Order: sequence, then C-alpha cells, then structure tokens
Amino acid sequence: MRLGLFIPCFVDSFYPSVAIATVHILEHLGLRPEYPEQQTCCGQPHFNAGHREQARELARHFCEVFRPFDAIVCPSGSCTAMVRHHYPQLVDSPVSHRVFELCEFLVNQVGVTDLGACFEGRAALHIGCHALRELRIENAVHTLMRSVQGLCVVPTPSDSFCCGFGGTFSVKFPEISTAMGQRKLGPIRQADVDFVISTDSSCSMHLGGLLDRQKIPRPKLVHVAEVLASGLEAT
Amino acid sequence: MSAHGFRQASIAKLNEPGLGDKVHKATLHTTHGRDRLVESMPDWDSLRHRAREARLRALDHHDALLETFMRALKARGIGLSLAKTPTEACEIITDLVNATGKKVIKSKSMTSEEINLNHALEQAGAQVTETDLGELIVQLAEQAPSHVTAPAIHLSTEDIARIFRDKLGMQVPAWIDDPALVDDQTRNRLARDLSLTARKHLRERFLQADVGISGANFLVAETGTVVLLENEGNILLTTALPKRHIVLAGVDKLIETEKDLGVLLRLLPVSATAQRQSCYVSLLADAHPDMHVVLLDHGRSKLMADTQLRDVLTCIRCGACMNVCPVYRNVGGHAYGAAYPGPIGALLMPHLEGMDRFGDLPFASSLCGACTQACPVQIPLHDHLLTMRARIVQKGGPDSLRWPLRLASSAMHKASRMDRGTRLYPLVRKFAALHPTGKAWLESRTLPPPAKESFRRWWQRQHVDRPATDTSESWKKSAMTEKASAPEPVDSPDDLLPLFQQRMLELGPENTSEIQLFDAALVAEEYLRIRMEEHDPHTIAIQGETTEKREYTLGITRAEMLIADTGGVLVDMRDRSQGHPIMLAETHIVVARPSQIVPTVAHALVARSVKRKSGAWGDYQVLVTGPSRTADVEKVLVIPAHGPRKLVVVLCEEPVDLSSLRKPPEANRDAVDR
Repeated sequence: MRLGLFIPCFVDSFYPSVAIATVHILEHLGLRPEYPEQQTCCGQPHFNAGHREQARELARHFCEVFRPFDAIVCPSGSCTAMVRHHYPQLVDSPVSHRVFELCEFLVNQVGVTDLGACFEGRAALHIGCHALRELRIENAVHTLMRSVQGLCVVPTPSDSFCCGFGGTFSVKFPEISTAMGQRKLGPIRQADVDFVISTDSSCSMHLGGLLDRQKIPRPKLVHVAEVLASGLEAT
Repeated sequence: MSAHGFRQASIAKLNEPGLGDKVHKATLHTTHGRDRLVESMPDWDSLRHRAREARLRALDHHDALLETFMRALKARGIGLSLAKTPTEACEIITDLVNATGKKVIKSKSMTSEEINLNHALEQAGAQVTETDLGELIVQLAEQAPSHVTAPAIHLSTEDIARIFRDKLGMQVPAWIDDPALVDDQTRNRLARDLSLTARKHLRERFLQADVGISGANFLVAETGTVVLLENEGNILLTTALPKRHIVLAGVDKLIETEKDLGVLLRLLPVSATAQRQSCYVSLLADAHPDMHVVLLDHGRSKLMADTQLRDVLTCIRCGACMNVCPVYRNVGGHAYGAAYPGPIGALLMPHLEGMDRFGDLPFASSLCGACTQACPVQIPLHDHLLTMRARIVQKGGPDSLRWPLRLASSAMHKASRMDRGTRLYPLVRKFAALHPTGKAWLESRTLPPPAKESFRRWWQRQHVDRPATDTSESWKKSAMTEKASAPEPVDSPDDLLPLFQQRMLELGPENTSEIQLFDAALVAEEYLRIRMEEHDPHTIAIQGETTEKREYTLGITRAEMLIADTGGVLVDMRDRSQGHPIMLAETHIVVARPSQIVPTVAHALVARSVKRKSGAWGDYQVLVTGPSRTADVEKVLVIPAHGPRKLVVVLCEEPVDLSSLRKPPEANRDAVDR
C-alpha cells in the first residue's frame, strides 16, 4: 500500500512547516508517506474563477502523478474537496475517492484519535468551509483536538463563519472579503485566545494577513498539523 | 464590471453605519431557530430529498401540469392569463384593476417586485397599499424589500419608528435618537407598538379595498389550489374581502399533487421563519371573490430547458440561503439591486434579466457552501455559481484575472517550472502592489513572508536515500463509521394528542393559546355559551351563519383536522365569503374532535383531496396554527398582527352543534329529552 502526500502549491511555498508537520505525524504513526515531486497545483484557483480548461489540464496532471497511490493525504480541506468533489466534473478521475484531508485520514482511515501531542494554550478552532460543509470532517477535527494535552479549545459564535478568503473572491471583492474576515475575527478576539487553529493554510493566510496589517500580534494562526505534531517524538 | 456594479454597491453598503450588525443579528436569530427545529426533525434530510424530487418532477411534466391546473380553474370559473414578460403581466393586472376599482391592497409578493407592479399600478392611477408589515414599512420608506421573507431586515426598530412618525404621524418616544439609553424590554415594547399601529392603520384599507393582489407559494395542479403561507392574517383579508382577488405567480410555482404539498409545507416554514408551521396556510380553490390567476414566464421556460441549471427553478423562496450567506449578511439585500438577492438571486437574476446586468453576481461568493447546506430543496447553489462562472468566462467578458491565472497555469504544468516561479516570490511580494490584484489584497491584508526553504527542497534534502516504500496494509484500519439510527417520527395515535397540546401551547404566550377538553357535547356547548356571554351577541360570528365584512370580537368555527406535529388545525370554510369568523375576529374558538388528529400536515392534505372530491368539503380551507403574529420589526414576536389575538381549541369527542349556541340551553335540553 502506498501513501502519497499531496502538498498544496502555496503550502509548499509559503507554509512548508505545515507540510513538514504532516510528514512528522504520519511517520510518527509508522507510516511511510511518499512525496511525488512532479505534483504542482490541483487547479482550484482556475476552477473557481471559471477557467475550466486550465483547471482540466492541471487535474489531468494531478491524476497522472497520483495514480500509483492507494491513499493520498493532504493538509488542506479545500484542496481535498477540489479533487474529491470537482474533479469528476473535469476529468475521468481515478483518484478522487482516494484523497483524504489529514484529520479525516487519521481518524477515519487509520483509526487514531490520540497522537500524544502537547500544545499549550487557549485556541479558537477554524474548520475551513470546504472541510466543514463538503468533506464534513468536523467530528474528526474535534476528536483530535480534544486529545491534545495542554490545549483548551474555546468555542466562539463565529466558529462556523467563513473567513472571507474564497480564493479569487478575495481580490475581486476585497472589501466584502475583508468585512467577512473582521466578522470572523471579532468574536475570536473577544474570546481572548492565544491561537486560531485552522484546517486550511489559505484561511490562515487571510485571517493572519488581516491581523498583521492591523499590527495585532495575538492570536497567532496555526495549522492543525502543526498542533498535532507538537511534542511528538521524532521517529 | 457590469453596468450593475455589485462591487461598487457593496462598498456603499459596507460603509452604511450599523447595516451589517442589523442584518447579522436578524439572520443569525432565524438561522439558530431553524437549526434547533431541524435537530428535532429526524426525517429532515429525507424530506429535503423528497421535496427536491417533487419539484424536479413538476419541471419534467410542466406542460401537462399547467394544462391540468388550467382545466381545474376553468371548471370553477376562475380566470387565468399567461404573461411572457413583466410588461405583459403588468398590463393584464392593470386592466383587471381598472375594471374593478382603484383601491388595491397587496399581500407580500416577490414576483410583483420582479415585475415592478406597484409602479405600473400607480401610473394607472390606482392606490396601492402593502399589507404585510415588512412590506408596508419599506413601501412607506420608499424602498424595495431587502430580503424575500423579511423585507425590512435592514431596518432597526428606531429606523421604523422614524418612518411611522413621518408617514403615519405616530407618536414615538424621544429615546429613538439615543437607543443606548434604554433596555431591550423598552425597545421590544416599541416594536410591539409599531406592529399594532400598522394593524390599526390597515384595518380600514382592508374593509374598503376593491382589489386584493397576492402572490402564491405553490399552485397544486391536481386540485387547482392556490396555496399561500403567512403569519399576520393579512393574506386571509387580502384574498377574501375585496371584490376581486388577483394571484400573480411565476410558472415555476406549479407542483403536481397534494402529497407533494404535504412535504413542502413541512420544509418551508422551518427554513423561512424557523416555525414548524406558518400561522395561516390558505388553500384556495373557490371563485369567491372573483379570482384571476396571472402566471409569469420571464425567462423561466428558457431556464427550464437548461439541463445543468434548471433546478434553480425548484426554489421555494424561503430565504434560508441568504440568511446563512456571509456576503448577504455583510452587505444586505439592496446591494444586489435585484428582486431576489443572495445566492439564489445570483443564479436567478442573470437568467431573468440577463448577464449584462447581473453577470458579476455569480462571482460575488466565497463558495463557502452554507447556502447549499441550508437549501430545503437541495439546490447545489454554490456548485451552480461555479457553473455560471465558467459560462461567463467562456463567453470572454472582461476578466482582470485572465492573465495572472493563465501565467500561473502555464507555470504549473511542470513542477520544475513551478519551483523556479516560487523562487521569484520575494520579488513578486515586493512589487505586488503595482498590479490591481495585488493592490486589492494588500489594502487590508499583508502577504506571508517568504519561507526560507520550500517543502519540496526540504523533502529532497531529508529523503534523498529513502527507498520507495510499499509497506503492509498496517495504516488502513477499518473505518469508524458508526451511524446512529434515526428515531422514527412519532405517529402512534396515543402519543399524538399530548404532542398536539405541547406544540400548540408553544405557539405563543399563555394568554394567546388555550386548549379545553370535554367529554360531553352538552358541557362543551355550555362552555361556549359562557364564553359568548363575555361578548355583545352582534359582535360574534359563528360558522354557518351569514356574516358581514366588519370586525367581530369572537369567531367560532369547527376544525376538520388537528395536526399533531405543528399544533395546527385545519378549518373548512367552503368559500371565502364564509371566512369572516377566522379572519375578522379578536378571538377565534375552534371546536374539534380529538379523534380527528393526524401526525403531520401531509396526512391532512391527503384527507383533503378525498373530502373535496366527495363534496364533503368546500373549496376554501385554512390551516390555522396559533394566533396571528408578526416578527417584521427586528424579529421581535408580536401577537396579534391582523388576525385573532387569541386561539382557543375546544376538544370534545361528541359532536358539538354550533347552530344551537345562540339558543338558551334549556331549549336544547328539552330537545334532547324529547
């Protein structure tokens, strides 16, 4: 059985620590993930902007690269949902049902609910919209977060709100996108948390970018993979 | 950008002080209420599925349904016109109004907003009065509704008080200019005063109107029934009191059977207003008053033939998609410049009015999918937005992202090219503000700092000498997919009566809903006589008596069915001229037998089909669920609106004789003895 790592293009470039944490978690469990180096982008930005031909070419490439793998793990709900839900509209996709977001893979496929992670602090939990409503992995994420020692997840009224990123939406309608981000952050800031733990680095980029622009140092944005990899013994 | 310019409109709305707060507060209120109800309905998802099937089936057989519906109307002498365009519809309705009289009352109709009917009628010299509270508020403010089920959602109690002060001369408290001074209770009291002012203002208009215009929630082909849902009682009055009643509806409102209606009636109120059932559901199939149905096409036939997107027409206009939409919540409905705002509007408007005007709406979504999740008829709204985007791009309209995306996709054909591109990021980041896209981002957000090393590089360093692995199946343990089996819906008759009592008493505060149980008819009749003694005999209207178009303090009717899961009662009034005891009384007493109870509205509708066919029932039924109410001012519940302020259900297994109630009890006892 071969386990492939699908690292979204912007995670590869901007958030390598998220991808490295993913590798650490999988290796900690005794798994041997492989990173096919020919992978690029799943095509979601193009697909969402209406450029289906470009998205189709990237989807073809993706399917070819990941064809040999029995399961494919990705530290992003959004990119996973692109492959699982939208690829069948673009290509004859043999890989769609083999792609899993990291948390759902750990809980539903591997059967792990406690990795033995330690992460100190109060945090709000942001499950990205595609993870929440398309993949429906809310339970898996909560299960894993509950097992983390030292972590206190604080529920807030904006937990299920969209962060306002939406890919190209954030630059086509920057004012609405920003307003959505502020609505998301309002209750989180009131909850007095140290971190916002997110399933998706794209949401983190948006929320973190908003806080950074206003020079607000707290809360910090972290990815679920980084939290789950904290305090794990290296293997 | 299109002529409509959603982005520009939204910027103005984002800058309007307090707008986003008002819309968030109201939509969150409804959404939370809806979620609570959905949790208590184990068959929710199967209902959604059945509703979708029913609505799609109606589209599949549209022509046949239309013919059946027309035949049914014709048989009862009800007129019907088909209008291809808004102009045609306005002309037909204006002619009908001109032939009857100038005083027009309207109940809420989004289709009339779509064709800008009020303007056409006023041009023709008619006096048009909106009677739904939310619609009245926006009409007085000279605005358009900003939501399909909550027209004044963008206005606060204080905003509305100012409108009523200026337009209706209402005395309002001074604190409205500084609401921070008062507590919630005081604000809620004002909301109540506003609602009652509207009731008083509209009462005369109802009694004097020449023509009533309504929309329709559903048109049932099999029985030729026009179905209307409401809470206030204004639809009962609009459809019954004037000489003529005109129904304006899109051709997409047709459904096949009463059984389908049973499914849809369980979904719509939950999704629209977080209620198990709306206060009044009118089932109209009578020609009294003079009824005329106008069916509007306006692009719908064309959309019906669109195999990918036709299910947009299965929409039941509940507004749930806008309630959960983060874009709608921030900018409100007016930013869309459309009769139908929110996600469904972004799909409908380009088809009704064209891409030139509304082609930017499908792009104005973060694709969060909240709309799709909320839709009671399972329209994949956010997927359809994507389909629309692809079509618009294919047509080759202006697109600021065309070149950046093309560049990106060509770089991403090869990993090595992407890797080289990534190394340019520090440079791109430095000069991002020079491109409009980068500038749009950087206005309110920073870009992440470049990473010291990409993951790809890290992997190459770490895993150089790692052999390709092909280990055992150790990672794949059995998936843990336990699904709790859903509990069956309650339907054992013994459980139904307590459920009915519980649900009915939940419908309003103590003094507005009441249940009385009696074993013997004589005792029940005596109880009713005692209630009648509290009233002037001339202000009591009893079903079966000849009544007039005026106010009554007490109305007494029978009910033919009790609906357990909503606490509602189904009343058969034969035709609308006999409906006064329900709609014009302050207190409505309903007499029914406990054995008439059924689990859901669906069961009652099946019975209705049979009873009407056999002639046992007439052509006008109303499903009454609690006393009349409104929540159009900041979602504050106010009882009453335009109908009764109190509903009493008298349950007695022996048949109660309503015609004996005016006679002294002794006379009846003698009759029994003889």
